[in-house]
Amino acid sequence: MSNRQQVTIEAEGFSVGYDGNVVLSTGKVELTGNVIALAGHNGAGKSTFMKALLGLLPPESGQLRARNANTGELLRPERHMAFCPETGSVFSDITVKEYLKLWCRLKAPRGNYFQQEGAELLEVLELYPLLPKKGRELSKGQKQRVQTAAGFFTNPLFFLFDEPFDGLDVQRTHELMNIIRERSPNIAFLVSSHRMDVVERLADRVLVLQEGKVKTYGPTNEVSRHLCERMFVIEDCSAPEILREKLEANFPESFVYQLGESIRFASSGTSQEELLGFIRQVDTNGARMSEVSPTLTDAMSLHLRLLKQDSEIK
Amino acid sequence: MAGLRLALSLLRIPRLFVSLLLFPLFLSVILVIIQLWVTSFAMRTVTYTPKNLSEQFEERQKNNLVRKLVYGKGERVEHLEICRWQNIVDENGQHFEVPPQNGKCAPDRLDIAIHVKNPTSFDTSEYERIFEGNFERMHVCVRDCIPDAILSPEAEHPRADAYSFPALMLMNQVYFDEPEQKQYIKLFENKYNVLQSVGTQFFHANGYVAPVQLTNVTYELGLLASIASIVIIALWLAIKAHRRVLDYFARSGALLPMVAAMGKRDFYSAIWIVTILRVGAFLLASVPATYALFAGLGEAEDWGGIFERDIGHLLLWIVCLVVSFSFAAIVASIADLKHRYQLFAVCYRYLPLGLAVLGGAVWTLSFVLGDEGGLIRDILTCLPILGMGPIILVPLFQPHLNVLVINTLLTLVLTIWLIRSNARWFAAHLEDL
Repeated sequence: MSNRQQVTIEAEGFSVGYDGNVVLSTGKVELTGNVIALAGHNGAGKSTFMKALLGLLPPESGQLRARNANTGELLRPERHMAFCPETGSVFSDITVKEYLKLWCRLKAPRGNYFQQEGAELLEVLELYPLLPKKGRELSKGQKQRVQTAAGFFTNPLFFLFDEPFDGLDVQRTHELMNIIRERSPNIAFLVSSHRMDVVERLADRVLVLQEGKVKTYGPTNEVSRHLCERMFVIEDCSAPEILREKLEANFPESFVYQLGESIRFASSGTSQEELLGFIRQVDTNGARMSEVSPTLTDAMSLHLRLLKQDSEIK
Repeated sequence: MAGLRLALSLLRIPRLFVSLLLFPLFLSVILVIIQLWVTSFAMRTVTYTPKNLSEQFEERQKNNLVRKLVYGKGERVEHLEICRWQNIVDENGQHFEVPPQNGKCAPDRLDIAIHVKNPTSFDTSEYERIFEGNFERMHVCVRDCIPDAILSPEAEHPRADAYSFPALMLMNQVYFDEPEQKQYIKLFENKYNVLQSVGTQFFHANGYVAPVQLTNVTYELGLLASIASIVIIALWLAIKAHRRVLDYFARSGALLPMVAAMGKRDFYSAIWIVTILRVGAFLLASVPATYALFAGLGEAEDWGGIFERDIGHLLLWIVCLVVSFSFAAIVASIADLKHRYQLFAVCYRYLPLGLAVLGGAVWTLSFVLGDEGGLIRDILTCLPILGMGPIILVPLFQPHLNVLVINTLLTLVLTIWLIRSNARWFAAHLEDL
């Protein structure tokens, strides 16, 4: 067992729906991790999954819950969890200081907790200049930082972030990742994101949703392998652009992209021999091909491409 | 406990204290005061007897507000000086008019003038009767006397022009002045005597525990209007508080984090606590004011048959009224929320009102029917929303207790069903609120 705070997400035949349409149906899931990422296409059910875990949506059937993996205790949203929505949140007509004070009065030991024990977090999140500003004067990213701080002030065991990296530049992304990493020994995280490059570096477990159902879940490398069985790197080809175009045309159920002079080829069904034979026909200069482990970015790209093809066929 | 902590924490933020509690409370109390003022004015007006009407008129003659504002004292102006202007010709052959040089006709802007073709022979007796007591001088000339109030009785279309607000007010005193008022009091006296001769009218309609009193019901109507308005304002405050807090959280994106952090039950408890504080503060301010007004108006016997024998009947009526208005407000609010993106969504808001008016119309028409009318009225009064009109009028048209009980129970059952059947939708659309 890791010495970091870990949670187990458990689902048993859980489903929720609006107006008779089921929008999330999980089947059976048991996933333990420290930083768990929720991935999937737009509308896959990531936000619904988070709201359901927070007990905000009444289930049609089954249950979805989180447990402290270190102690086995069932986590209650109001006691153990914090949540930062995609848009962040601060009341428009009160100052950030008043908003943080409100949160501290409600969930922290004292109203001025944020200026004492929480001062370091204000520094890290660069919130001091924002304290006198009103909610309506803040950008989306600033509101997210405020709500992130408010969430941390409640001393949660499990912090749920909905699309925290959306719209952040490289520097801010890096800073937020650091904050999550620094706190991960004591807090487990559930992070929904489209940014697979970030998720790959941050998360130890991934749960992929597809059209309201769980596609796969597990350790990041296993999920990548599940979504993308074979990943090849092709190097030393005479005309990489031409080869990429021909690969794309001939292997529609694959994801091909060029990185400098090399080509990366992700596929679930293509064998090494079949691919090598095709490359020899197109490129007679003796291009080299080697199989590598797929990254989560490659795997999700292939997954989304296949999903798009499916929907076009339908 | 957590709900109370959230409610108090919200109210400790000055901006929220003002918008959630202080401003709506202030507005509601103002509305009740206006309503009470209008009600008491209307009640005093319609409860005049020829005697107190005369007394009031005499008092107004001695202490007239307009004259107090214009001249600084409210009494009638003692004498109206008639100043007939004369036409003279100067050394250049120019014609012009001058007032009599008697020391009493120096023109003033607050005088009144009459423009006529022949000032010397014009008969002013009717105008003296009308304006006596309100103006000091009346100038009669062809065109050169021009104070702020000018009459032109010989124009093609007779007209009166006022060139200042005091002049306008003084000219309009004619409608409240002695000759006209005396005629009005005479007419009133005749009508009053007829009413006294006939006596209080009672209508014996089927289905009511007591005959319906049709005359001398001023106090009942006043009380009815006051209670209904207090109930309506209290419900408005309650529903608005709910929407206001939810809107406030939803617009800022804080709704979901806050609900998650507090737990649904505590979060909604907090909203209820804010709502109860709003309504409670309003009732604390408005109920004693209403009681004080009605306690000071009329004697006990003026209250006629209004639940005189049965305080339980009165309480049941108030409960029934509150339940009915709550149900109507919840129907309107839910329909409005669920369908607000549709083109005619605003119509849903007025759906209960429309149904209540329809029920009221059928109820009124039922009186022209014979014995069957009683049964129709009873059934209609039992029905939620459709029976709201008759329910409001219960102090006048007192149905059997069981009719009120059935209406209350049916409305309560429907309210619970409505809330339960929509709970899932609201839970699923929290952030849409």
